[in-house]
Amino acid sequence: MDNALRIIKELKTKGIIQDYAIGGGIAVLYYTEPLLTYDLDIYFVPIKECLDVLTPIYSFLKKRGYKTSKEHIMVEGVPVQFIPVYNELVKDAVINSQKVNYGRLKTNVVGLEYLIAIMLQTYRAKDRERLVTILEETEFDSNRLRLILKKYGLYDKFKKFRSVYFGKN
Amino acid sequence: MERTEILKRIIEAKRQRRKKLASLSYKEKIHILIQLQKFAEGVKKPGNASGNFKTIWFKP
Repeated sequence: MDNALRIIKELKTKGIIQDYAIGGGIAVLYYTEPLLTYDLDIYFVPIKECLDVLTPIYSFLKKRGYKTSKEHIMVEGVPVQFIPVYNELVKDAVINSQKVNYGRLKTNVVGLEYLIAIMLQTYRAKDRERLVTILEETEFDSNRLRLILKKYGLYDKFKKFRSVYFGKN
Repeated sequence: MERTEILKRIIEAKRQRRKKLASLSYKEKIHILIQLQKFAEGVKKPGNASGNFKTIWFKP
């Protein structure tokens, strides 16, 4: 994982991507007890808007000898999925990501409140499951969360979710 | 001790355990994740019925 994170960081320092942050299950795991997941999701802001934003990343990594496997690229034994920021919420989440230590290495992880908002937006079964874990186990900033949810029109959905799963309004 | 009291204690102990696990360092959690992937490998369906990509990571 150290080496994979180092390579991902290099994408930014070499100017191949503008910014990045760890999202998905590996971001959730930063805040909660360890949970089973299989890929490392990296949200990234491309250098410029174009149709194929993945090509520069894949070219760089393939030159280093890393191979693709389905929608992933195997970086130092870790299946990494690069996801371009697909809307304003995700872009905001990357720009405001949290600087985190992984051993001696510094990396970026999507902030807890943004992570909740993204999961509310995607709302797959596994997002709902992870949302329950996050709401039960973490101490998120409810003011910050409310601001983010209101900005992206997710506040009512959050209230409904809380009412269904926790009996709260 | 009443059954509900025992249950309350068990639930609280589980909550404390989860809290303790959540406070581990990122690196320690990734180490546990890889162990989880190895355990899951043993009970995984043969083939890849769901079509999802599931592989055990190399050591952290």
